[in-house]
Amino acid sequence: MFQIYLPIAEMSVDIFLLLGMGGAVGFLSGLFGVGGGFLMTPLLIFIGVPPPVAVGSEVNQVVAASVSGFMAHWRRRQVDFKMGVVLLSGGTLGSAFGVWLFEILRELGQINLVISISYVFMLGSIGTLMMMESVRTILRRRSGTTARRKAHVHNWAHGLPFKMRFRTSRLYISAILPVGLGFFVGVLASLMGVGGGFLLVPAMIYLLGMPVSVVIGTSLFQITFVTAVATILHSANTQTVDVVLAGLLTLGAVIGAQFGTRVGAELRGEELRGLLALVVLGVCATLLWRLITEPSNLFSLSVVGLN
Amino acid sequence: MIRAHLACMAIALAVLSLGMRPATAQDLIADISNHLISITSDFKGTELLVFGAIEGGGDVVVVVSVQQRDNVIVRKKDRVFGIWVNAESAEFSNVTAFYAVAATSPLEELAAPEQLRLYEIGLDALRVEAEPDVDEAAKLEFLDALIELKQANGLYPVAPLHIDLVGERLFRVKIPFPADVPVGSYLVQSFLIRDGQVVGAQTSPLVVSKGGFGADLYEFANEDGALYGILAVLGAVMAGLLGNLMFRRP
Amino acid sequence: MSDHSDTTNASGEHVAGQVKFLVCVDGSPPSRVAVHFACRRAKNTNGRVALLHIIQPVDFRQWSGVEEMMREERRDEAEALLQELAADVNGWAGVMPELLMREGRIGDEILGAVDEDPSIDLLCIGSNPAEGKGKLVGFLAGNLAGRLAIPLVIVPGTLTDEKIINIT
Repeated sequence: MFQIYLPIAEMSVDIFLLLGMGGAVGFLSGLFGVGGGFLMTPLLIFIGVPPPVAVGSEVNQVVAASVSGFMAHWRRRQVDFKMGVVLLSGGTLGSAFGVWLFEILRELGQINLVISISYVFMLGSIGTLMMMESVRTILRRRSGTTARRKAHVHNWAHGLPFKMRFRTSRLYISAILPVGLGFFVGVLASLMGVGGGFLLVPAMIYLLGMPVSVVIGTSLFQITFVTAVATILHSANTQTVDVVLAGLLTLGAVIGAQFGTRVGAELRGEELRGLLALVVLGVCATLLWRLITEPSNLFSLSVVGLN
Repeated sequence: MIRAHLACMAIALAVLSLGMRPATAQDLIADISNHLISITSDFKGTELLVFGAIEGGGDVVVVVSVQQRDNVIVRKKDRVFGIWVNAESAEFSNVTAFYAVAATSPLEELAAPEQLRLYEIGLDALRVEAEPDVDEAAKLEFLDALIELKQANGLYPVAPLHIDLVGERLFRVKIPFPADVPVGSYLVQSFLIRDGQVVGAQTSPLVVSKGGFGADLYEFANEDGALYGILAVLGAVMAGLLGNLMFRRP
Repeated sequence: MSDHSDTTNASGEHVAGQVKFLVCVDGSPPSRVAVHFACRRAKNTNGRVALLHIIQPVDFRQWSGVEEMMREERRDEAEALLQELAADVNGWAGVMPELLMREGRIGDEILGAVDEDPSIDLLCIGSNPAEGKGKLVGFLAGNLAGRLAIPLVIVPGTLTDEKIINIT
């Protein structure tokens, strides 16, 4: 009905489809407090956006989705900037490496495949873990026992060199850990168009041992800046950032997230989390199905130097 | 860039005139309805009218084509560990990005294949070149796939269009362009064929370009990617903050 | 989500004529000044003090382990804050305050606490004049006419101890 032309994706899409997708994913991200990039990129691929453009545009949208959260935590002084900068140094390297890898894979004609396979692995493991956690919690609640988790255990990581003091996080740990973590999440941002909060937050708590009060704010700091760097690097090197697409998704997501946050404040259900796990596993299964069914045409064309 | 295209056209014209038998200049006159097709965001395809007149009988062939500037890679998927993966590929140069042909009679009745090949009339006459590393068998298979894909996308219309000659003198034909017609400097060539020989030719330039906001954005993204990226980030930051401000509650 | 718990209730039964001050605390200097003000008032009027702290709801819900840890950490911090302030109240007013903890949006939860306990006579919040009209002050003042049925006292964080003693 109301078609809009996406200049970088070079296709026309119904404007309300994009707003609706932005709204739905925004709602989920408001509900669960995560960015939503890990659902949006596959959905864009499903509606026919070329996977590289889906990744480049989504990483741009994550900037919009995380910046206000970062500012809010900053105002409440819940950001460990020193830790954030160390994470970001790794994240910048990681996203540069990711964009470099992205270009090589595109030249080899394998970028679509690598994006899809990465998503199958990532969504598969996240979905399974969430499902297991959810089922375990429901069972535990039924049996009436509660388990208090141990926040931080001393492990092999404490033997690493280059120790640094992080005053806000009350930590004295090797800088290798946050740099490495930032690097990995940076690669994910460039290659898959995700902020990586779903992975960064638990890793900061369990691996780095940060106090949870500063984890969300610090992760949002890293996500905002790494996705900004990835957006610029993608724009300069791969030309896969469609600002019209990102803008429409953001518009939908901002509205959806408001409702999600509101509903999330009222609801507190393990079943809800189980439902998100099902959605994640469903998207994963659809991606896998597309990889294993024989395509209608085995041949495809690509122009050298273009996507 | 425009200069390069003009040079190409001049060479093409020179080649044409070299291979032709002498015929008076007035034997074929042709023109097109439009020298510029602008693709805006609501472009759904269009038609180009080619018209003209011939003197002294003969057949008319009209060819509309544009070359792909860069090489084209044709990839074939194969099953690896149960997953369909791009495996074999072949790279071609001098690929025609869009090719439409129209004629007063079936092409094979007009001239010998060598003559048609000389003027690149008909899909079989296209001078696509495989890169040196592509072997002969693969070349045939991948070239067929290339033509099939182009035909499926409407970029190589399958059947030659038929041209009616009015009173043995006047001709006109509408060439359809699909919605995703490639941009570039096209050549619209009209040929006059008598007794299996091309005796007259006329070439008109046609420019297909993107217009409007989308095209500007596309050009900006491709020409100054870093600045485009910085603005994309600033836009996202503004949108994120503004959106939150609008809905903020205590 | 109205998840509240009374950790301590050291003071006795409600006595007719005894004024009960509810002070919202968040650990900021202005909220301490507000507690000080309420204590002095309570002491001089033979009233009682209740401290209310609102715990922010956890907004990261993807991993229940992480969510649970965050909730526990916030609860622990809140308890530590209330215990610390309770000692101050004891010093200023000579009585142990009632301690309230609720989880949710600040404005809604304050109104909820006031609605649930009819013995609360006065709501006392701190403000920071340096930062202009705070969001909380604006929200409560705006809702005062409609929903808040008791007086609201806004204590500027810039008030000095002598001044507090003077006006109470």
